[in-house]
Amino acid sequence: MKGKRFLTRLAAVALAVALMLAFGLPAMAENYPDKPVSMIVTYSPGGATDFQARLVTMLASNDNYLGQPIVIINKPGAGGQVGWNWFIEKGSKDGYTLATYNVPHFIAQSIVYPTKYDINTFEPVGNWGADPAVLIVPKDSPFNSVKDLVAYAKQNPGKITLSGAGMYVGHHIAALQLMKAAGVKLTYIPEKGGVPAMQSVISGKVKAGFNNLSDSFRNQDRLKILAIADLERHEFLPKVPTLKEEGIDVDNSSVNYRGVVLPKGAPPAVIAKLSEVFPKMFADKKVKAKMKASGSPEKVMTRDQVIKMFKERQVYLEGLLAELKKKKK
Amino acid sequence: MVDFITYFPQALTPINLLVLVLGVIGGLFLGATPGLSPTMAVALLVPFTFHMEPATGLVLLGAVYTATVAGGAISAILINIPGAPANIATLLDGHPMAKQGQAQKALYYCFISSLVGGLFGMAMMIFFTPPLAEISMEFGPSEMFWIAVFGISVMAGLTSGSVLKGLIGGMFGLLVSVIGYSPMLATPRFVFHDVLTGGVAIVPALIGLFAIPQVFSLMESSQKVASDVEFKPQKGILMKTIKENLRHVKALSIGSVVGSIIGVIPGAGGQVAGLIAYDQVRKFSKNPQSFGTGNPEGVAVAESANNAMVGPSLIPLLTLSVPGSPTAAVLLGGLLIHGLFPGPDLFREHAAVTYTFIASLVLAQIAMCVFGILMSRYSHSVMKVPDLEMAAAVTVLAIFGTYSVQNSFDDVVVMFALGTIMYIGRKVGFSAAPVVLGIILGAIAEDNFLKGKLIADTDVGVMVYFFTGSLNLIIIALCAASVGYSVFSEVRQYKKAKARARAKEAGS
Amino acid sequence: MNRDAIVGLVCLVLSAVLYATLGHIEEPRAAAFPRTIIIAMGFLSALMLLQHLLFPKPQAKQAPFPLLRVGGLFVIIIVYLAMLEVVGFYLASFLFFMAVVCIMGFKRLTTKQVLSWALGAVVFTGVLFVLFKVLLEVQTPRGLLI
Repeated sequence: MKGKRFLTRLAAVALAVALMLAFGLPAMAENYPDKPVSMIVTYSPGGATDFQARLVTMLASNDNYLGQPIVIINKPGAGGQVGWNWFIEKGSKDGYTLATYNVPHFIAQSIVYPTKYDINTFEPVGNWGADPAVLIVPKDSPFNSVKDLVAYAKQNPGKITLSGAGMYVGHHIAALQLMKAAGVKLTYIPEKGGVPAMQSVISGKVKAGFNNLSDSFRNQDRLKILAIADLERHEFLPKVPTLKEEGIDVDNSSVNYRGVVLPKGAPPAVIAKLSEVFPKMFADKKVKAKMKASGSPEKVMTRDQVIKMFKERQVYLEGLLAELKKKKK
Repeated sequence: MVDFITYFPQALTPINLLVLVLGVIGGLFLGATPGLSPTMAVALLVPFTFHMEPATGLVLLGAVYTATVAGGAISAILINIPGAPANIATLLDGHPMAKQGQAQKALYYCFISSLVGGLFGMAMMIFFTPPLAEISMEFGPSEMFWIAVFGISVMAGLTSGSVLKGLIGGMFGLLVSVIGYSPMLATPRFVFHDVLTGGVAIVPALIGLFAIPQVFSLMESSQKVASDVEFKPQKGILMKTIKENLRHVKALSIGSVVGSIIGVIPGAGGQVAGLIAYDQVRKFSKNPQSFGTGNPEGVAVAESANNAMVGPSLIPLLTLSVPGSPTAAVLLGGLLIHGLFPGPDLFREHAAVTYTFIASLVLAQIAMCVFGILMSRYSHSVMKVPDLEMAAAVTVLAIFGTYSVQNSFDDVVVMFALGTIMYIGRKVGFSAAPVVLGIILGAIAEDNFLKGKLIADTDVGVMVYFFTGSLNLIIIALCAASVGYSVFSEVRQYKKAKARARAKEAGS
Repeated sequence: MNRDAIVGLVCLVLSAVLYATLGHIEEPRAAAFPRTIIIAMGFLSALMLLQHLLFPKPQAKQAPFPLLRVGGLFVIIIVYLAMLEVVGFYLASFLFFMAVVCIMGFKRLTTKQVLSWALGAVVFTGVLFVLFKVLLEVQTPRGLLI
């Protein structure tokens, strides 16, 4: 009787082995990619980064690009830290795990916090978008220009509340730059994401905010957009001046660049292949049309351009955040 | 309204109807899988709409959203595991009903009440969008803080046992919600182990707290003789159940109204609508003890609240482009890829697509009820699965559902650890519902308090900011009433029990 | 001391321990909310302890706890979790299912029963595989095989 029981268990194991063989062994990395590629998005589903990431990768399964779909995986938390830490620490290094990046967010975080990542741990393969921060106030706000706001802030230090998508994201950098350049004190309200930050401004719960150009552009009926934190005016909002034009010396360091990275240690052949394919895919007519239709500003950059941009931001942000860093440590 | 009628026939094209039906059936199954919350299901399907006509794509997303919200009740009733946080209240009475051999009736109740609530919510959306949109924007940090406090006041009532245990469980949940990086200040808290850095996400916690204790209890009971309840299809009870269900006017109307109001509040989400409505109905019932033991009224209120929230939760999204819930945020993506910018333009320039979407949501409510009822007829086969096999299958589903939320093995570990703690807790009289409520409300309470304090410090001060304004005062009054009534009924019950004990003593 | 009094004591001790760990939180504003909650929890636990010390209610006898079965399942699940990322979700789940029914249901073990279990497990994991992996591209722990 006991023997029979043993036999039945053996049969179960044999069945399992047969199943294993039926599904076959994983193929090697020679003809990359031969299975779907995962891409970590470090923000929750529905946010601007998530939405655009889904949009720009929708053609990946076409044969002239990757020939395999890209599967989006959301790992939100702590302004992106959770996802990027996971990506560097636990993500596979075989080229089948990608991640989206947001500059200046990840660079600023790597300066201020003990993160597992910095610009040297990422291998960028292409940039798809650049979303400048814009200064917004509620529709019924007494401020009609940046000058009004700065004048009020000078009279009432710290009395202007200004919302943004969190700590050390582009909006926060823009707020720090504005305070430094105009010599005023504002109260920055970090929110859980761009959407709640926008809502606080629309409903007048805060007096002003920095938010994404794309989201503000869609909400312009319910907001006043005072200025844009970039070097030039934007084609979506030709009437909105830059902060520089308004006499406040703020450059484009807060512009939210979005793109795709591989982790350091990924096979060089994969880095080369994706650096070639991704910029082309982002520039595809279909992707461009969808990006434009959804009001998302596109900016395609190649690997070399992105590496250069990373380095420039690193130097600038180290300067800007030097004091904060000292306080933290 | 006129526009709605004009464009209604457009939703009825064959292709749209086909997509609607497929979306509803698929949504019911997806919703019934623990871990695949409505948000997740809609996010999975957005890429499919890339290649569809805008209207058809939106019909699919709307149908799936509606059906997954109701589908979560199926697993809540049959295997005591809510498919999504919104279905916790359904489980409290739904599962006891199923165990008494009335699974089919419980499911009928669930789908009929869902339809009533869902249609009510859609009517609110169609007729009252502009005023509701304005109300939704009134909710700022102070109001949201008080809403969370109101939710916390509900905790005491969610345990069939002691109020104190309910509250302690709730506090435990609130503490769990704090784990990980503080969302506003990015400070790590209570990160005792690496797996906790990402914090405890709601869906994994929900699965752990309900599924794992359930698995272990199945294991306990499977050595006993099979229960004498026979699980067989209940024939010919449909008409009777419909009549009976519609007679619970109080439960259905409280559920629908509470669900609609909470749906409109951005950020609160429907996750708490069912529980809050359930607590109100139970409190004002003539025999509150019957709740939690298989009272169909409990299923009716929970599910009507749950689905009533669907329509109103889209109001802030469609009119103000502010998604009020995670699911609405995902739907926003679905709109944007077709170049549809939410806001007043949506109703002017893209009226055809927008009203087709709204019409399909109404139709989806009906389709959800019809197909849900058809599926309920096979529910007895789930109840017949022996405990052992059920325990194994539920474990597999729990792990699958947890992992799929954000592809994190850490979440699986956290889920199982929380579940094991909950199993021990359940042994000594704690319930899972207040703990989950604590996890959901913790972040809302803390974020909004901190945000409110930051704003108040630049202006009028914390006291004035949190304690003035009519909306604040209304919610505070509701909190006070809720707590006051709980204490009152607790005292009354204690006295009754004492009197009974005395009578017994005198008798013996 | 009855069971509920002990539960109250345990919760009180837990609150105290958690309170002691609050010092690790660097930012004082981030510690305020947990502190409030811990104090509330401690207060409620103390209340519960007092309530059951002063007015002890007679408690029903507990049924004997089936430690072997529950503990056995616990161990199998731990093994399953450890296997997940090595052999992959679908295969691990199949093996887990078979392990649970064969070990826990050893009294019922016959060839026919094992085959029907195996069939059930294949169908169950197969449906999951087709629905989620193939149709919806949901990610599951990847291992050697799938």
